[in-house]
Formats: sequence, structure tokens, C-alpha cells
Amino acid sequence: MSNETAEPTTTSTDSGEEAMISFSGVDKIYGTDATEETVTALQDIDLDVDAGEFVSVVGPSGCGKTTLLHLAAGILEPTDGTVTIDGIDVQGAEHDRSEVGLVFQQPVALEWRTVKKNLLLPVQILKQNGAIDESMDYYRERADELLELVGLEGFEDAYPNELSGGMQQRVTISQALIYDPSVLLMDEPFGSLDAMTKDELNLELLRIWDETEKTVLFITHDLNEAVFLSDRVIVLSPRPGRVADEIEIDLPRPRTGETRSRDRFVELSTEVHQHFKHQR
Amino acid sequence: MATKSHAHRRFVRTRHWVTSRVPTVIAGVVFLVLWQLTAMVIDNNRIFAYPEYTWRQVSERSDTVFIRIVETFSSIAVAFVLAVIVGVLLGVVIAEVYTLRQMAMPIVIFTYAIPHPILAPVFIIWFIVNPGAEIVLFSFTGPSAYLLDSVTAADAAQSFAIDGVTTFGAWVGFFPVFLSTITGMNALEERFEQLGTVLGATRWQMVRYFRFWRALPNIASSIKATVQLSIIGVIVAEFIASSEGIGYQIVLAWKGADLGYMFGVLLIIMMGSYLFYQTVVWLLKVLTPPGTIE
Ligand SMILES: Nc1ncnc2c1ncn2[C@@H]1O[C@H](COP(=O)(O)OP(=O)(O)O)[C@@H](O)[C@H]1O
Ligand SMILES: [Mg+2]
Repeated sequence: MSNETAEPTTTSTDSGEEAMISFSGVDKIYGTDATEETVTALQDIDLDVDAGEFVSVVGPSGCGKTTLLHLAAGILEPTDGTVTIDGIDVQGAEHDRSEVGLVFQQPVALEWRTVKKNLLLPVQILKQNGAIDESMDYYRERADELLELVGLEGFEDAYPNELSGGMQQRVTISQALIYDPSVLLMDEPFGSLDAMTKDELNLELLRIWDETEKTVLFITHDLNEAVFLSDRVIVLSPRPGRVADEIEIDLPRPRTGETRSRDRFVELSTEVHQHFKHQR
Repeated sequence: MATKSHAHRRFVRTRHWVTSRVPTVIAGVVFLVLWQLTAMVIDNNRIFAYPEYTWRQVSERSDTVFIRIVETFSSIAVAFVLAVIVGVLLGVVIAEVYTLRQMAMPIVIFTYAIPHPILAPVFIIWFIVNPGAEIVLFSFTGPSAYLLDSVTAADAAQSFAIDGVTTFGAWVGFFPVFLSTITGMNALEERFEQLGTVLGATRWQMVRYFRFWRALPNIASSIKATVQLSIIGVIVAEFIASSEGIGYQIVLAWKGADLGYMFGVLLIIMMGSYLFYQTVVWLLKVLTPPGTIE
């Protein structure tokens, strides 16, 4: 319940120090090779996410949401500006890989590994590179716990193609959770799921977040989902992607299925929809 | 519950395996009947040998045939394994090192375009001129010494060796494995590359945990082609190398215009090849994760 305390909305000068994820003056232009046409995906992004905060980013398709997330993950390099995690440039050598978990839009379960071996894949790599210290046995046990947590017990030895889309997505989420990163970057993780599975996984995600006090940057095109989950919703405008609006979500926590029927939820949801419409 | 359904699945698979073999058996019978009928129409063992005559010609020299067929398939096994190992290893290196790939690919395409048989003498000569180059991996007494009274252990002495015949067989079989390794490794989906980046995976870790496995289905299907090609390579080399293996027995049959013997030897090669192919497919199924094959 550490998230109940309201964070200051517009970032003041001193919060640059304590922000867990920080974009400052970030531009991302694709195709700078002179040969290709250039696309300015993101422009002048200044965005801070505080430790333990749950922030969602919404915006029309193609406005640069995935780009934003991949910049935070260190997959993409900003054309201008810097992105830091816990004060450290993600492009630098000191960046701690074990602090960041990325949940992809599509499942990243490897089809040639069983579910449990898929969970242990990130651990094997991080451990070999000295990014985490616990023993493999510790992580094997943790994998079992996680599988139980996300409702996949009994599927340890199944192969990904034997699972439904929702189950595969749970594997993908567990892959990011296994090494207990303090930052979780999620790219429309439930975008391809049916409404019921989605609601169920939303509640599960909130429970995990609440228990482990992670910082979450969550991408979605579902505005209600954004309102339901977040402390703050960021609206991106397209071409080039900029931060157009920020809406503080002051709904009480813990949030439950009943939260959606509250007047305040409907109000906030309407507000976000309106902000979103302006971006079309 | 789980074990029961497992046992059931096993049963269904076995039954499926048996029923799927029925057409093969029927085809074999039809083949024999057609062979007999054709021979009866022609009725001349020097132009088209009767099945019975073929059998007689082969069983008269069963010692030699047995020894030589084991010799040939030992060579094929070595050629095949060499082709797979070298193909995968070189494929991994070439797929990983961009500049090497830029340099190597034109050469590979050029050499691939050379008709293979014309290179066989080159391989044979290398090992004849330079006998020290031959590497015996494993020597053994062939099964004929145990199964046939007329064959002594010295007659049946055989070995797995890297020599002119096996290197040529490996050369012929190598290309599909090599090329499919490169194709498969480079087909890794972007999101796995990105996962690797997020985790800070090294290049070797990308190969070991992602790319190699991504290439495995491609490699497995190319290995099926390599079975055929290494057989062709070895037998062609034996035609030329003289005195070695079943290939040389075909040359003898041809020189003596002995069609019955030739038919028999060809049939034995066909059956051996089929067994070898099935063994490799079975091994691939057992050794690779489910879904790798087909
Ligand atoms: N690798 C790339 N090369 C060129 N343009 C790209 C690339 N990736 C994304 N873009 C462009 O950048 C913009 C933002 O893309 P993206 O971040 O994927 O948007 P979103 O996730 O919001 O749908 C789009 O116009 C897209 O076409
Ligand atoms: Mg996207």
C-alpha cells in the first residue's frame, strides 16, 4: 500500500534525482541513415516515473508508445537526450540489466523450451553475466512460486504451443518477474486477450505490483484499463509523439472489480477519453 | 490421469506407426510381382535378371557383399556425421561474423555450382598421395565374422575413418546443413533479439540460447537431405577409388556384365539407405524438442 501517497504531478526540479525512470529531452528519429526516409517517432519527451509508481501511456496507434518503452529498456538509443533508470543512463555500461523487466506485446516464450525452462532463461543469462547472485536452486523454487501465482501450476513441463494465448502471456510476464526487477516495462501485455482474461490478469498484476513495490510503465490502447491500473495516465499525441496530457488517477487502492462501477472511475475515464479524442 | 493418457497416446502412436507402414509393405509386394512379370516377358538374365537369379548371384558371394556393405555404410556414417558437424559449426561462424559472410558466400555459391562427381578424384588423390592424412577413428571386427563361418576376423576388420571416400561424402552432404544453419540463425524474430538486449546477452549467449535453437528445425530438415547426399558421395567415391566398398562391387558387376549381381547389390544399397534414413529421422525426433521436425 505504499502507493497510496500521492506523488507530485508535474515534476519539480529536484525529483530528477529520485525518479526511477526518467526521460529528459528525448527525441527519437528513425532512419537517420540518409538513405531512408526519416520518421520522428518521439520529440521532446520529459517524463519521470517515481519509484513504486504505476504509470500508463495511452495514445493512438503509431504515436510512439513502443518506441518510448524500448528506449527505457535500452533496446533503442535516443537520437537526442537521455533515459535513466535509477539515475543511471540505460545506454551506459553501468546500467543494471537485472533492474529492468520488459513484457513484450507478443509472447517471447521460446517454443523449444518448456514453460519452466522458459522462466529460467533470463536467469541463466543474467547469472552468467554476474548481474544476479542467488543460486539456480533459488530461482527454480521461485519459478514454481511464480507459476502458481499466475495460475500455471501443472504446466511446468508443457511447451508454449500447447498453451492458450492468455497462458502464453502469463509465461511472458513471469519471464520478466522471475529475477525480481524493480522496474517493469509492459507493452500492451493484455492487448490480444479477451475481456475476461484481461480483467483477471489486471487484478493479478495489481496484486503483484502491490506486494513487490515495483515501478511500472504500462502501455495500452485500452483507456479504461489505463485508468483502472494507474496512478497517472500519460496521453501521447501522434506525429511526432509528444506528451500531450497527464491525468492523475486518485482512485483508492486496492482496486477491485468493483472499482470500475464507481462514479469517480467513470468521471476519470470520460476525462481520459476526451483528452484522447483531442489527439486524433 | 496424466500417465494414463500418456500411455494411451503411446498406443495410438504405435498403432498409427503400424498402419502407416501398410502401404510400404504393399508397395514392396507389388514391386516384386512387377519385377517377376517383367523378367518373364524379357526372359533373359543378361538383360533383365529374374528375382530368383538375382538372389542366387548375391548369395553365392554373400561374404563379400556382407563385408563390403558394412564397409560402405561405415563410410556413409562417418561422412554423414562429418557433414553435419562441420556444416553446423561453419554455419554458426559464418552466420555470426558479418564480414566473413560477405567474403564466404560468393565462394560457397561458386563451389556449390561445381558438379560434385568431378571433384571426387581430387579427394581420393589427396589421401593416396598423402597416406598419413587418413585418420582411423575406430577399428572393429565387422558383424560378418560373427554371422558367417566362412569369414575370418581378419577379413572382416573394418574401421570408421576419415579418408578420401568419407571426406568426399561429407563434402557432398555438407552444403544443405551449412546453408540451412545460416538461414535459420538469421531468421530469429526481432522480439527475441530485443529480449536478448534487455537481458544484456552476449553474442555467444544469443547463439547458445536463441539462434542455434531457432535454426534447429531448418537444420533437421536439411539433415534429411544430407542422408541422401552423403550416400551418393560415398558410393561415387567408391566407384572411383576402386577396391573399396559396395561401390566397387557395382563396378565389378558392370565389368563382368553380371546383371543379377548388380541388381542384388543395388537392392541391398536401397534397403540400407532406407534403414539409415529412418534411423536418422528417428534419432532427430528423439533428440530434438517437440515440433522441431515438420
Ligand atoms: N524500426 C523502425 N523504423 C522506422 N520507423 C519505425 C520503426 N519502428 C517504428 N517506427 C515508426 O515510428 C512510429 C511509432 O511507432 P511505435 O512506437 O511502434 O508506435 P505505437 O507503439 O504507439 O503503435 C510509427 O510511425 C512507426 O511507423
Ligand atoms: Mg506498439
